[in-house]
Amino acid sequence: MRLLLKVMSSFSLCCLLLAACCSLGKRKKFLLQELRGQCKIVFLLTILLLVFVIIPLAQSQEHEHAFRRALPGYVFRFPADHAAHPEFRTEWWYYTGHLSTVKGRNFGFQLTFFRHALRPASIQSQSRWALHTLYFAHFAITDEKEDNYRFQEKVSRGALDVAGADLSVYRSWVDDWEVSLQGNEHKLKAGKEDMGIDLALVPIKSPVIHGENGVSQKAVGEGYASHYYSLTRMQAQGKLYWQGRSYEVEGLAWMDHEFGSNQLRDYQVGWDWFSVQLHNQIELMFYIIRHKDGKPDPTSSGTFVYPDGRTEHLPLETFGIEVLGFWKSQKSDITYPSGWLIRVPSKQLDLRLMPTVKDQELTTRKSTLVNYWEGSVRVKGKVEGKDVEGRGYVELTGYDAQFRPDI
Amino acid sequence: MIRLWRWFCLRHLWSYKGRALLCLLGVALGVAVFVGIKTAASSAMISFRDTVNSLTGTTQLQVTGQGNGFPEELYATVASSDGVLAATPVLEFNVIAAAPIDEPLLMLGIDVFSDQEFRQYQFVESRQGADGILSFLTEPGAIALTEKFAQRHGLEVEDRLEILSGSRRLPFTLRALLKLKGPARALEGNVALVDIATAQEVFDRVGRLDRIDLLLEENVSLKDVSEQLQKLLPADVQVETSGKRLGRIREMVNAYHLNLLALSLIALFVGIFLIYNAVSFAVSKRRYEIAMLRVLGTQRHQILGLFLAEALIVGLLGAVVGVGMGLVMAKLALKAMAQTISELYLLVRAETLTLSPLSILFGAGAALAVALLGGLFPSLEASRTLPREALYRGTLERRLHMGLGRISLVGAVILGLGYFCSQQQPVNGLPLFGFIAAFLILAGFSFLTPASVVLVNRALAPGLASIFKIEGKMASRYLGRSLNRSAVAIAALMTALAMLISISIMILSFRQTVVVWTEQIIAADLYISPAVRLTGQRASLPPDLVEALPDLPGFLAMERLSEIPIRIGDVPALLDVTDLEVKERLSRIMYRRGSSSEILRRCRERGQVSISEVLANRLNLGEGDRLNLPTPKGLQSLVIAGVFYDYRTEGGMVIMDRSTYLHYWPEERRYSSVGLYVKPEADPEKVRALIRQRLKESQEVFITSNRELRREILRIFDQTFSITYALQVIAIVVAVFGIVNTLILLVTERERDIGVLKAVGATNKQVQRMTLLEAGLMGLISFVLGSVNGVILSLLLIFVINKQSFGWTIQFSVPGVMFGKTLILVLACALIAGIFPARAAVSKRVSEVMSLE
Repeated sequence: MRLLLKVMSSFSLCCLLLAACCSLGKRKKFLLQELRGQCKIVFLLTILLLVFVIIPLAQSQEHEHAFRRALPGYVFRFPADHAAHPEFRTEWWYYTGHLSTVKGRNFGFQLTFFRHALRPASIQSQSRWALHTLYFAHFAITDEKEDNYRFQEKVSRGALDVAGADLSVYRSWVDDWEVSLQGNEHKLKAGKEDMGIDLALVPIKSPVIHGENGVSQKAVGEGYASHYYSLTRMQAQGKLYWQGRSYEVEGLAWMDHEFGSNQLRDYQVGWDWFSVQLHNQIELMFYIIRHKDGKPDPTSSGTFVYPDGRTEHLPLETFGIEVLGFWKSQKSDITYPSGWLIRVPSKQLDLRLMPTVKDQELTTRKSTLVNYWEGSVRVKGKVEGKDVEGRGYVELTGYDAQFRPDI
Repeated sequence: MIRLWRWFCLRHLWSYKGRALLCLLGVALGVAVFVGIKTAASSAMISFRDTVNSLTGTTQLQVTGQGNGFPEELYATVASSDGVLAATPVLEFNVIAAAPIDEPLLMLGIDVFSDQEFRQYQFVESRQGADGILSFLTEPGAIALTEKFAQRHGLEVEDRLEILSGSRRLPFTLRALLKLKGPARALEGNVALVDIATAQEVFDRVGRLDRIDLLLEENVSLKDVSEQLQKLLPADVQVETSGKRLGRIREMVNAYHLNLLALSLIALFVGIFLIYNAVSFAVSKRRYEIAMLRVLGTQRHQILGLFLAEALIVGLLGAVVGVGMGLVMAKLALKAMAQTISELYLLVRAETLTLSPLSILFGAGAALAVALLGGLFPSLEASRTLPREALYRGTLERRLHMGLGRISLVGAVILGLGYFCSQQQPVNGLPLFGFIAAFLILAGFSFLTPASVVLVNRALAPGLASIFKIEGKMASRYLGRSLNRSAVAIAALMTALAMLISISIMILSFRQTVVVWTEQIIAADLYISPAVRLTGQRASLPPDLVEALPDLPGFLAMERLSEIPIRIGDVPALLDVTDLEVKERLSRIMYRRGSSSEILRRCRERGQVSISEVLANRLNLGEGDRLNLPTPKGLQSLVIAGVFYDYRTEGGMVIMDRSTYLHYWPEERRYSSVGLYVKPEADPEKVRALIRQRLKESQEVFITSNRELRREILRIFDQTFSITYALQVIAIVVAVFGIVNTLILLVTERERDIGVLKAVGATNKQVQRMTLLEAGLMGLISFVLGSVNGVILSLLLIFVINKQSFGWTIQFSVPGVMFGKTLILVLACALIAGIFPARAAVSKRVSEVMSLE
């Protein structure tokens, strides 16, 4: 009988004294209300799909005026322009490279940091968690010997400087993945023992500014562009961690840095991007922006980099890219092109690009929720009649239906 | 045999429907309480586990703070620590969705990006599409609710709703809907999600976090990481596995329902008497039939089987009815349990009853066991009936199965065991032995009943004889000679009375203690508190309102109380930070030892603390010892200046002066309540009106006067215990029916004697008076025994069971009036109970009874 005692005493005496006046009110009996006729289509979407894929569309109009557009006449200054440009809505730093161990085992790597502003940071909030910018990072390693490929991703709102991109000195990071400029060395760090890199990249050539007059046009129309430059030849050295072992590695890397405030036009679906580093010190970059009907956008272009660092802008009509085959992903069911023939008649250039590993697809579930293919390729062919060999990286986006990425 | 049984038992049960029903109800009551409590407890536990599990997700370790949480900077430290794979910050609030919704909500402030490693929140696509989700993330005052909750209240995206938290009314806009999946299932969908930035800003918690959930890398040990993290963190921040919280709740639910189960056992105990009574009645009523059966060749064991079967059918029906009643009860108990746990641990909603076949089987089994036990002795007696004996109806004095001496000896041994149990330590903080002792005391007294009846009867006999002449003498003799029947009825009534009396003494003592306590400690003229106070919710008053109080005309002083939930080791407690100077001057605390003002001064001047006796018991500390208090500045060892009585919570309390607090903690402007003293010439009512005027639209506070608060406390107290009285009344009614049963039984057995009496000239009146006297005598003896037993039980309740489960000191006081009232009640009941048998006694004609000779 003592029972009751305890029961009662516990739940009444508990908040009794000073809370004597506590009003929990009477609980209402609730009737399930019928949805008013309208048939809501319920999608099981996780939040991020919306954040990255749809929100930029919805948001772009609202804060359009708040971000600077990429307009002709931009003058790059280095090393200052390596660092972040928060006045632009979106920015990324893309590193790709080809590494070999002392024993000649070949690896490819990709490490990318993205910054995407959802709204101007200037809106004052007391909380340091207030969401205005998202930081993503993607990291992949290709193991040519084992025909193996893995990727990882991270996302953060950058509160408490857990992720960020500095303005004055170049440094971008998400958690413990980081790239920073120390002297003329780009220090890259990502991953852990099972899959990681700790590299120092030294540029051999000066930055290559793509496009014309400081802008790389992505569609017809003012501002549909980005500011885009590359470090096309960087000497890489450091450690690679793979499946619990660490390797001393050396090789060549490529850095892309691009910033702007507009995403693709509604008639554009994605792009194919190519970077090529030839043994004869020549580098090439091409991008083809594809329309819904499969045609290339007239603003698609490329850049030819001479051994001495001089560059030449290559408009769409000066080159041709032919797809040699296809590969279908088991993970996403997407069919990507796989293998290309690139021709630049003016340079007597004729190159075949073949993936080192077929499956180099990123199916990002946590950060950007898009599927894309970004992988290392072997390059073979002729330039000005001479046999050449080299390496490259190819990026293919927009091959799954709804993809509408930035810029 | 079956046919015989149908003819013999069912017919009998049918013809005595009322009596059978009573037994059935007695058994059913016990089963119902058992099944009800057990089912409610397991349903509650399942619901809590679901809630905790769905909220926990994949979390392996949790970093939790006390009270106001911890600085958010720790997040970066923890997240980048070795072995930590992922970390996500959480702010947690228990709030109420304002009218017309008026329902509690668990509000979580999360960072969706880092949270996705832990939990799967799924959003419903709405017409507003992605805009809704984005504005949910970036706009202040944005909230997401579950689809279930929104539909129930007719809310749609873009609708506005108000949230009550502490003393504030906060406007929110519904920006997104959540599928009832993953963590949104917690609290049956009463979950609200806000972005962590919104949570910090709206609830005035910028820079603070409540919790960090952690996922660890593979191949690291949970223990190592947790120890290494603990070293990085301040003393008032703890690292624990996510299962620990569930474990704490489970312990609490266990403690809670053990108490309730003890009640059901006592109800079943009374059931044994009832069945004993009923089967005895059946046996005696049909002694002639039994003899005939025996003569016709029925075996002894068949007779035994017949009567046991009769008891069993009552037990079986009782079990069925009891399980049914139990499930209804479970529904009610579930609500109460969910509420208790919501108040003590975390907000939960438990609506779904989960049947537990095991407890249903156990309850039913107990009913059958009770039926067998109660039916065994009378059935044995029936089977031992010699055919010859039965045919001579009613001649034989039924001897007790054992001698009086032996029975009393058993009783004394049981009582001794009871005493031994009462001296034992609690088991896992539960007064298990205390409950066993209570049961043993009841059982012991029941065994002592026959001897007591003889003694009391002997003592009263001369008096009765002189007052009521021959009727008195005969009533007393009859009672003394029919011990095997009457003692059982008396024991049943005695048990019921003992329970009534012991619980009354305990409640009245408790009430008296609380009255004295409130008079001492409630000294301020007005108390101001937030309108909404829920568990774990640091409900607070608007600081500007509090800090402006001294400007009020008539202001004398105020005590600002900040109540902070803390944990001392594994013991949860409340840290009460207040202005002790004011308390010392104008109020007091009821200390176990020492003077209030003296101790309060020491607390204030030397940075010492006072702790509640509950905490003192739990930590095994006393005056002058040191209390190890985790603070942001490390573990502090503070001297305990005094131990005070407190009846507010089951947990412990620590009282500390604000100056001491500021020494170790960052500034606290969160006031849980304020006690306001006004000048003698000022009118508290006017001051109250003035404070009301100052309130902003968005502020909701309660202002209670001294007298209202005391009255409210006692009202809650009385309301709390009202169910107890209801249950006691049921027990008494059941016991009184037992007396009716017994008397009828005795009258039946005595038909021939009564016939003889009447034949030698006794009038109907005399016979009736004799029967009534006998009833009164039984009532009186029950009362005397019940009182003694009750006082002993109340001592056990107050000083063993209460002390062990709560650690409260209750001042023992015996309310004389209550005894008087009980005596009148018992005598009245007994006499009323005697009327019917008295009538029955004279209804038969002398010639009819005598003719069988």
